[in-house]
Amino acid sequence: MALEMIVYILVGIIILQLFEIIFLLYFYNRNKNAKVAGKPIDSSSTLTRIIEDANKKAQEIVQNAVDKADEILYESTSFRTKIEKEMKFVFNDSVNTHKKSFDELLEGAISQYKSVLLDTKKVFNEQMQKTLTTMQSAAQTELQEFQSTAQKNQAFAEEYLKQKIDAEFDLAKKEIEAYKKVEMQRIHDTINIKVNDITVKVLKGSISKEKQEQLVLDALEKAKIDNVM
Amino acid sequence: MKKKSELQPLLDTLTSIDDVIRVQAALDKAIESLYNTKINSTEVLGELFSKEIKQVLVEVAKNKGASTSDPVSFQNVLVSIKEEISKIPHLEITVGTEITEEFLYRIQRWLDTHIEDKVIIEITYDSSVIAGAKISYNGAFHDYTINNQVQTLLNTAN
Repeated sequence: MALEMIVYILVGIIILQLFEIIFLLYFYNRNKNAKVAGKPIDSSSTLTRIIEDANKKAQEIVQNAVDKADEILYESTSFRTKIEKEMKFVFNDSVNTHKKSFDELLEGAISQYKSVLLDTKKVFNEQMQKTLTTMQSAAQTELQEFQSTAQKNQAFAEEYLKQKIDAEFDLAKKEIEAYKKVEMQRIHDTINIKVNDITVKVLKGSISKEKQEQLVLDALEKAKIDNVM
Repeated sequence: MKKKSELQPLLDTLTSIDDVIRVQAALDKAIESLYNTKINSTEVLGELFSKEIKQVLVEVAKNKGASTSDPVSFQNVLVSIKEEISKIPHLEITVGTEITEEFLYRIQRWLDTHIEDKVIIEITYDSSVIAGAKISYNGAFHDYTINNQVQTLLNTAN
């Protein structure tokens, strides 16, 4: 009997302790949840971080565009060396005689190219700034809209916001890439036209009247051989 | 060997398109003078053409039974000469620089030596031509400028 009583008392103590543990755990969790839910969202730092990421990506795009432009500039400089070499080979010393004017004309073209390049960089930056402003504005709206949701579930709100910004960023990136492609093509075309003009001017100026006339007679000879006449 | 025409001395004076225009205009004036009783047609021919060419025209007319005293028959001869001139094929040469009179005659001499048919040289200027020439004759066209050569170099260098 006494033993049964002791057992009952012990079981009772164990049950009470279990309840206490459960109770304590419940309160611990409730406090924890309340603390998390009650904590004010650091919206400015979240937004800043996301915008900073976007800004960083944007700068990378601009830098890539500039690098590409610089690459083209390098190629055009390299091109000058090549064409000078070829021209010297074809026309011997005649190009040397007109080297100064050739250099001046080509420097003019390179200078024009640099100007186009700077304009392009400026436009890139403006375009990127515009995109970032739009994104920032959109992010703020999104953040306000989800403020209440965020208080309930900050992680979800942040993820949602990040996804929205990433989507807008990708769209802007595509637009800028397309713009960059068109601009680079324009620069290439401008340079090619200019280089062709220079080549025509320089070569024409470097070929003597006698040589010009001989080339016309050569053309007639070839036409006869080809049975054109 | 170039085919000789009884009009050869006149044809020999025709090198460029300008020569053709000048001779056609002179023939028109000659035709007009035939019907002007106040003007002596023979004298007009002398004013419009050199002595040699005038002689050729008179000889050709004579061979065809025409004379300056018979305006209609002489007109027919002059009209036929005009037609003959207009049928001479044109050799179009497109160049990038100015062609001097001296060089034009050099081209003519080259053609006289190398081409059987009589041709009228029509020079066209194209500032994009660096050197050499584009040749167009009887519907055939060939580009013998050095532009293609340069373009190949440009493409290689680019």
